[in-house]
Amino acid sequence: MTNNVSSTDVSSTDVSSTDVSSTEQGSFYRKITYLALIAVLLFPLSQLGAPKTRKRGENGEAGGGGKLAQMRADHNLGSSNLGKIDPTSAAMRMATLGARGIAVSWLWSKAIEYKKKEDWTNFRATLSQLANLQPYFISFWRYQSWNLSYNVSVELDDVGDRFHYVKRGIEFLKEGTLYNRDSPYLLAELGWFIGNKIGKADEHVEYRQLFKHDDDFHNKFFDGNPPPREQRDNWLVSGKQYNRAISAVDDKKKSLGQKNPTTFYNRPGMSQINYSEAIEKEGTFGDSAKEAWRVAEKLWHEYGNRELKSSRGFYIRLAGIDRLEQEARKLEEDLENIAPDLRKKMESERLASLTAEQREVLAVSPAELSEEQSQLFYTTKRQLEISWQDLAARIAVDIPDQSTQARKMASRLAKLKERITLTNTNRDVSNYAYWDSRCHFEQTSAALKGRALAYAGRRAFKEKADLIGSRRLYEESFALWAALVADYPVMLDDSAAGADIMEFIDQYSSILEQLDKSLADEDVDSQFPLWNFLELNDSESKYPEAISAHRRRAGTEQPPAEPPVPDVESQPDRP
Amino acid sequence: MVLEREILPYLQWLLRGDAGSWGALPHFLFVVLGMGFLALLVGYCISAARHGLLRGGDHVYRVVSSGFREIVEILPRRVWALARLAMKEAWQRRVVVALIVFAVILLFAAWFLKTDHQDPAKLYISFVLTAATYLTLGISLVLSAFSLPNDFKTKTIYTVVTKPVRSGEIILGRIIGFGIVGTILLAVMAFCSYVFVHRSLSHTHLVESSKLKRLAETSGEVYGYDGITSQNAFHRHDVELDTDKQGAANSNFGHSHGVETSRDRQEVLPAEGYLRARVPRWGELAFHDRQGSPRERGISVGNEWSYRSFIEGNSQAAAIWTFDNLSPPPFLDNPEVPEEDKGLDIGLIVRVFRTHKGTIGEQISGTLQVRNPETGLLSDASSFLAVDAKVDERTIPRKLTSADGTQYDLYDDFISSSGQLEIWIQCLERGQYYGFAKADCYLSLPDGSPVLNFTKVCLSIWVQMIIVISIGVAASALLSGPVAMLFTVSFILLGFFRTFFVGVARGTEYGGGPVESLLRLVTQKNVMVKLDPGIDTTLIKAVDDILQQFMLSVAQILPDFSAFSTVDFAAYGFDVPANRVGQDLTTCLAYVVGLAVVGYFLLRTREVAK
Repeated sequence: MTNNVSSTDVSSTDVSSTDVSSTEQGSFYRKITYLALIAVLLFPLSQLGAPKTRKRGENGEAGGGGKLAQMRADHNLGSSNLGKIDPTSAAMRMATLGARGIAVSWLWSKAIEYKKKEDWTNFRATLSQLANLQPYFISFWRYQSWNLSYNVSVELDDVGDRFHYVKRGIEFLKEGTLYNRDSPYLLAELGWFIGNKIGKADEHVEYRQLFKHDDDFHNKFFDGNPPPREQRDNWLVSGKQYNRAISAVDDKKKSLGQKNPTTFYNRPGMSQINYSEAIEKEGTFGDSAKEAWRVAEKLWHEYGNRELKSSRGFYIRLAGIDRLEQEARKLEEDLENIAPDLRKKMESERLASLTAEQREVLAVSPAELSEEQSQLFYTTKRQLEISWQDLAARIAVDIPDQSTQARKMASRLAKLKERITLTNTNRDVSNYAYWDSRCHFEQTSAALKGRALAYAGRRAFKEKADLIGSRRLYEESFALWAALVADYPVMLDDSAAGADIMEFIDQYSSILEQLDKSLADEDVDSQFPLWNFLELNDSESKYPEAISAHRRRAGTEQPPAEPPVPDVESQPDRP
Repeated sequence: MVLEREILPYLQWLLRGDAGSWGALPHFLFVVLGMGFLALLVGYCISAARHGLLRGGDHVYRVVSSGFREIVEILPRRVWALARLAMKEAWQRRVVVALIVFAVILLFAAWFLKTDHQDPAKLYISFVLTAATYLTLGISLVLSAFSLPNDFKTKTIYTVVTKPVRSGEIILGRIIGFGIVGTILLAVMAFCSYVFVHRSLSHTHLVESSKLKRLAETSGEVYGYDGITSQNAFHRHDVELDTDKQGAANSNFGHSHGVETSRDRQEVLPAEGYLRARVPRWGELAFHDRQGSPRERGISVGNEWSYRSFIEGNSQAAAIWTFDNLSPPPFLDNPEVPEEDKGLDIGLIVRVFRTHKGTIGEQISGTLQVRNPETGLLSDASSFLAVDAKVDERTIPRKLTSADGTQYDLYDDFISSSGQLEIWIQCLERGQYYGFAKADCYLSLPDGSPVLNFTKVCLSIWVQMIIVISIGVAASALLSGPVAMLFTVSFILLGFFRTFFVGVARGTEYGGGPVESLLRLVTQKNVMVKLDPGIDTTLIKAVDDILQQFMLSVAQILPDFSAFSTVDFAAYGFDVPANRVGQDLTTCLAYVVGLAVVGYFLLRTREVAK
């Protein structure tokens, strides 16, 4: 029994040792298999996940890395594609241990509190912490840099302190562009801050000077390569930022989002226009000013000839309006010529189809229409209108063999009209025609001289108190302006140019005042050539008496209206 | 310097308090009585439930009487022995890690701090002291909340109680022991902070001789030089030198530098004025409106922050500070002190508000006058240009004239017999305004030591630390470690937001009481929209009323941690007033005493301490 047991034990030991060795062997093979599988899997993984390298390819492009890296690059998903990778920012985000949202909310409320309590040092420090926590949030950069440049700066009284915070806002925004490389929003905003905040603020005279002479700012802003001082004009620097924004859209294919292309692409041109205006206001005339306006005109034409995506999805060119209108006129003529008298015939038919009430209302003058009549009046008017589609449809009935051609022409005409309407709307948005003419006329020797004379007149008055000399210079300048206004009537209608000339007239008027004279005096009236302009642009009613006196002399004033006779019968009885 | 809470004289704070509030001592006694009564009531109810009405009363009596006896019998020797034990325990729990964390924070602080702010010292001081505060409070919390529960868990408390020690001594020993450990940590952190701030802000500049511009009279006589320093630490200074080319780099970014010239080379000395301890003596502020009638406040210009109120320019509106207890300074009769230094130094902060542009680049002008409130003698107006939102340090000359040209002495004629003096400020320009708060004009005493001031700020952190330790030890006498920690954290959090907490309790915060706020949160209802009338709203309001009363009671014992901080004083370069330090230390003592007693009775409820 014992032996049996022993033999059984031995055999079982043998079996178990065999089992163990086979198990060990199995385990060994399994491990080898796993290792082999891992090695095999590593190969596709290395191909898929290889990181982007600094090594350049044959064509000098950066090494694209594996498939995943390429996809990240194609779809702009990696941090490196967004912009600067900052260990501070990364460390801070990790340090919040997933509570970044809470930290951000808390810091935003702290920033609001600091701003409320005018603690600007801690406000800025909080913004820096927020920037570390949400560096890729575009709205944060836009909002808070605006806060610094526009809201904080005005809280301070000293111009130097104000400019300090304007700069801080600009630098903050610049920092945002490093994290969010090629963001058209931030770049355009940067251009706007440098251009409009510095160039259009109440303190623009001081700001422009401070900006130009701030070597440290330019050194930092341009990463140690500041432009020469003559190019440090805020409008020129702003134009460069706008060009970078445009390049981000055109070359880097960044999305313009909800931005209106009409007001996005006109920025470089407008910056150059503002630059040209600014240097003339500061006393730069002659060839320099002419060149500045020439560049402005060139940029404006480039803008006008750019294909802009309209709100309807098709592309328009602001400068192409004449060609479109010409084409439309040609088509209209061609369509009319298919059946020359058809439109008149249709008009008489429609007139004949009107009801007695409609005919009656058409006979009333629009000014005398009651509310009910008015509705009927305009409905009837619309009923009488004959569209090109109506005409084409009628041609199809009356002259069937011309039907296809007429319908095609009407359809083409409708599309052209839509394009013309949209082009005109967008031209109005950017005031295209005005700036086009302005860039042109400012280059004329008369405009350049007119501005130089007005500037000299102002200086003679302010610096030398030479009233007679100053008056003479202004009058010479006005003579040139009068000729220019006659050549460029668009200037009469626009307040931007009007404001400039009105400023000269105001200064002229104050000189007259010191000479015990006024624009209303007969001798001044006869020498003042800008009456038409003044009548249209005296929006603040500063010169009603002078204008009235001039009209009387010219015999163009309307006699005052008779006071209305009260209708005694229609008045209610007094209690 | 913004001083939103008035600092009362110590005795007034202790005994009488401000208008609408009690003195600290009556408040403390009221809380002690209230809590004592509540504790007796609750203790008796529990005891009566367990032992019957009479025996329960007897039990309570014995606990209370033995408690008072034990308090009297506390021996400092035994307390010190237990404190040493607590210190050893804290050391074994590697509190030194806090210092390592602090060192790491300082090492990486430069990543987050920049000196490109107009007042970098403020930022640096705020940062390091805030970091030190949170770290100290954190370590105090962990040490105090887990100490006693751990002793219970590891049974080491049984070894302690076998010795002739009393429960009160255990509690006090813990508080003192952890307090000493925290103090050492805080002292090291404070030292490191000071060195860090000092080193981070220390810098110098260069001045190129060739770029100095010669300043000459029309006669051609040179009277000095001016120029600009090189850029360093994100700023430059304008340099003004005399004919020997000695002078200063003018104040910018909150500091200035001396400039010395030797062998035609200018040496810019280290920065001065970053860390200051101006010692102000504040007065009482009153206003006159545009018709010259007295008003408590000036007018509002629509700022959301109503700290300052404004006076209108080119009118009779004035801001009037009255200073008390003035006496002629001792140096008046000292012939060595020049006459021009015998005036009265003041600091003035003006906030300018413009309703029109005025002349851009030009400051708004105003006048300063002094007046004897007793005789009504008013000095002739001395005009000045407002330096917006910065401390303008000026001296009122000793010799003053009145409007009729008669000369008067500042100390003899303008200070009343009761030691009062008024300073009147008016704005001169139509449509422009000056804004003031009480702390915006002060008599400037000689500067204190910045190191001592820094120490005083650290003392306010120390006070907070001791209070947290006391709360933690008291809570841990009854609760388990994590629960005691949660309790203490709640206390700290509520303490930091005490103003809001009291606001909710009093119903002055938008959104109603706790239940109403919860409802608004869940239903996303705007805080300005009234709840629909109905039974549910009535019920919510009723529950809120009860909760708000409870919150008000809790608020009576809640330490106002946000008010303890005196970091702003150092950050703005002002000395922490002695009154403030005294008040903080007294408050701390009150909490330690109160919480030690509470901790003692809580520990007595444990089997081991009976």
